[in-house]
Amino acid sequence: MRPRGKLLPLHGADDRAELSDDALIAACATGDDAARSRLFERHVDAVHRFVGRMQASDDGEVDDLVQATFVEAFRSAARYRGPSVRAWLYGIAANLTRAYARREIRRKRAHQAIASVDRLPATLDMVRRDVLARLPAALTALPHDLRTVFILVDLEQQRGCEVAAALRIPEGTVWRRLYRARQALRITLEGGRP
Amino acid sequence: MMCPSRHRLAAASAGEDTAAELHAETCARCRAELTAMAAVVRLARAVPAPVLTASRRTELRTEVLAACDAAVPATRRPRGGAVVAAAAAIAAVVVAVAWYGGSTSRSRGITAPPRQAGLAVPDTGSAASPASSDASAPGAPRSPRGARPASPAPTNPPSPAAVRPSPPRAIATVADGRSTIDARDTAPVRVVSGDTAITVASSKVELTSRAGAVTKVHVIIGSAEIELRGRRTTVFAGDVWVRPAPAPRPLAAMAMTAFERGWIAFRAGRYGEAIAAFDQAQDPVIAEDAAYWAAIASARAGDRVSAARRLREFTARFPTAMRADDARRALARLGP
Repeated sequence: MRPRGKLLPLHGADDRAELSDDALIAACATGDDAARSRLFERHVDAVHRFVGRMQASDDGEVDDLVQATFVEAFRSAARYRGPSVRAWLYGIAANLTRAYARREIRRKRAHQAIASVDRLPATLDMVRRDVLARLPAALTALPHDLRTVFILVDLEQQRGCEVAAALRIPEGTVWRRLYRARQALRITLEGGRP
Repeated sequence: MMCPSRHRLAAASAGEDTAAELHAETCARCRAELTAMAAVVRLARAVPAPVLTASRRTELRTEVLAACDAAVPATRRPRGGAVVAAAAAIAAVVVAVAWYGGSTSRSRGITAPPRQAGLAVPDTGSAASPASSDASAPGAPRSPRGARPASPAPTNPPSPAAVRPSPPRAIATVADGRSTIDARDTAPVRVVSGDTAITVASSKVELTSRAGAVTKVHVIIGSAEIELRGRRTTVFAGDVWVRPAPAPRPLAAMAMTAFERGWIAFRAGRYGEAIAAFDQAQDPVIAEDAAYWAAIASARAGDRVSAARRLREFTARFPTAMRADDARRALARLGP
């Protein structure tokens, strides 16, 4: 039976700082706002970074997707089965990003996603700056599945088994997608077409 | 020698396929492939990551919590639940009437056996001494749906309920399952089970017990006060209190933390630090992974003797592990 209505908190704020992710998720399932807040604080940076890299262009869209990810996570907290809360959040964010892209924006034009060269470190040489400036566009041009795996494994440094669990795919598929993503990026950055 | 597949090389470049990685050390083609992949990853990591500002973070948190509150569905009982609730309510009335109506001659001073929740009814001033009664006496009440009166056990140690400041007049034991307490026309009822106490006054609640603990309290009418390890919560009609999941074992949590620390160090190429952290992750929940990655970290650090020893220990300790074959292959490559 799902908890109905809103319950009063079961713990003091001091306790929550020490609680594990699993314990916080269990408290979230009972509607504990303080637990939700704590879990949000723990993972919002990672989720925001992931969604930002997936979406790459519009800050408003990124914020909307981050918000939707946490709302969906808190709604379905009772269904969480592990093994990692962060990987689970990544899985939710990946699904929402895919749905959002399909419904709202489809594929962004590459020029919309090109990062500002001004944001790159000034010490980089011009060739490297040029390559780096093209990278976000190249990343955005990747198919969603390849982009998700590349960001999670290579940029967020998640383990293959966790990514597989989050995306509900076999671990072998994670590595195959990762290989294809890197290959496509390499070709794009070298001036070819993926 | 056959080269590993490209997806295995992708795993190797992420540090997750040791056999392929060791192969690449002796194969120029695979080594070139790994180098090219590593270059793409290095470039991608050089792009600044999106940063969430402190003000936007606060706004987002407020929006998320507000959206969660707005998303709470209206309280509605499922159609099928009405029948169950009605049956439980009828059974509950039987229990309540039995405890109160029959209390002058059928009080029972007994202890709750392990893995069963104790149902304690406070003294109303008209009860006989608990020791003077016998639960097995003719006319002793039968409790509903898994609830059963316990037999008298004067030699048993007192239950936590029995040593409360306000001694209960009667105690019953409730086996796993659901029971309803209807205290609308009676004195307040206090249910004590281990670290949880529930007080029901002028209200009606449904309790769910499992493994000797009250796991759920559904307030049907009125309200109930729930005290868990000294913290009080008031639950009102229509709400369900669910016992929070127990915190993970401290040792397991510490092992997981150590493993995460080791993993971060491993990915950063700080193999000595990684080995030390993996060695601290000894809880069974993560020991297998920790032992394997400590061996791989030793190999990466260039300590072939330690790596071989660790791999041998790993295969001996976890012969059927998912990575046992990888470990054996890595061991074979390291040589005697």
